[in-house]
Amino acid sequence: MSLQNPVTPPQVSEGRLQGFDLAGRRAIVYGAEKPVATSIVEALREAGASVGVTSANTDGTSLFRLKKAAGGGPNEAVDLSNGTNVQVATRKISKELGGVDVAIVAPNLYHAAPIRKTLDADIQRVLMGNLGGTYAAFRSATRELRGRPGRLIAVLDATAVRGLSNLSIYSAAQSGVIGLVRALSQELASTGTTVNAIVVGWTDSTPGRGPSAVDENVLLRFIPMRRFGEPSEAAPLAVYLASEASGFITGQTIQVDGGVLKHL
Amino acid sequence: MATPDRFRLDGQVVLLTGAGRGLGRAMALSYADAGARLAGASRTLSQLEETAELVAERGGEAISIATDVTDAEAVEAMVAETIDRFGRVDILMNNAGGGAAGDGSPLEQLTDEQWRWGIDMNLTSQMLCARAVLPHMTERGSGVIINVASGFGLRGGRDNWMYVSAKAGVVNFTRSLAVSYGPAGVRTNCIAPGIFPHTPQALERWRGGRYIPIGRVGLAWEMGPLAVFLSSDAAAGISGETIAQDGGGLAMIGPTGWAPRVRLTEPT
Repeated sequence: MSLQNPVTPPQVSEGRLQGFDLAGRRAIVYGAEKPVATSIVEALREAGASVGVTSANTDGTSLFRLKKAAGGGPNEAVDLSNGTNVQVATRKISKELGGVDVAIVAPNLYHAAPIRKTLDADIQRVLMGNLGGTYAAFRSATRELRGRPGRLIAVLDATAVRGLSNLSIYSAAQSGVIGLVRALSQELASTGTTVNAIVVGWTDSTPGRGPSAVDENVLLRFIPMRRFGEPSEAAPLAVYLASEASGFITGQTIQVDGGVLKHL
Repeated sequence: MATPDRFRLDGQVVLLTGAGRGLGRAMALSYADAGARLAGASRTLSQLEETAELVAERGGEAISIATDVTDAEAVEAMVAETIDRFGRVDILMNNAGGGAAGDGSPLEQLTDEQWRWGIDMNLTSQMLCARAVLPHMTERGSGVIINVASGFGLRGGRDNWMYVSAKAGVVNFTRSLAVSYGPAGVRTNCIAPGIFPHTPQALERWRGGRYIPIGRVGLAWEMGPLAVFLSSDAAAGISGETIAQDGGGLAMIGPTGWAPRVRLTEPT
């Protein structure tokens, strides 16, 4: 460690801002069928990264959306709850990209039911599809990093930090990822790898959000920005967290929510 | 707009307090890189002018305003001068603050004056700047306020009184600003820097960052891109948020600077 603490940012080149340029970086986005994640894939490409994608689930809709998100790039159908599946897909995409620097996981196995009607099989499926799947994806991506400094990012929704009835098991699985992020950030810190989470609030694609006009929807009155987010709004944050400039931010959960989670 | 362009601040005006040195100067340079025009404020004019020169070297434009941010009238004048010169304020970066005499001693030795000065410097100053600039921002229906807190705003410190109290106040002041002025189009966020030593002695005290999880201290320039990101359209959905940039310190069970004596598992 030198005794200098450089105040001056590295010089910018060709108008590209330090921190938001991902030229030469290779990223895998798991769960790319989720609209928020699809936007992240596009943003990473616009910032210069080469991106491979996997799905989080293997139903028809997920696979259809996966192909759209792939845009002709490397893509694999993956069931996140199957670790072997995740490992094989990661290896294949990594070979195609020539390595991995950034892994972004957007688990999205939704489940809404009252606790008395939630079965053991549901618990297993939802915990594995969200928490276990994120773990498996981070594990496979960490292997591909081979000790180099990387960027691991989980993309969660507001149930990871707040509760809502009938979402008990989904909320438990989502919030479990935040614990994973904190602990893994410590474990991988010595390699310079950062691990962070993005929490996305109510967006136009959130189930059960209700109408989008302030007069018709009480929920909107408690969002300080008086609007639902767009799925694309988390994408620039993902670009920043994937970049060289965010190397000192790790173990953090950052909310893109229009301020709603700060209201008492 | 392509994603990398959403981070740019071309033509926007940033009012940056504490711009004369350290993290403030580093942020000034990043703002200039992003295309923003800069009004730098601090008590010491000579330091501001050095920052302005560095900004000019990078092709930016900066004016210097000597201000005591604990003085309401001076703060009003600072905002008025910025608007007079540039016609508007798009971004208020509430960066000024610092250690206070009396922090580091047992509480029973603390004087009332020391307490008031520490709170004024680190919390009241940010309120004064926000209050002075908000009428202008709400009138225009847009604006961004960024407050600088500290890891000490989220955790306690031994014999640390005014600084921790004020910085914790900043974190929650940020949330209320977001909730109250969000409907008027003003976003407010907060950055909580971890260990960013300014002097070789401070760097030595933190052993070069050996016991920070990431294994190094923060580099001043790293504050810049985060400030630019939060100021720009790229962060349009983020408000009331506090982002810690601390090398993983707050995510750890133990305090920053503490290292487990026993290895709990095999090294990675």
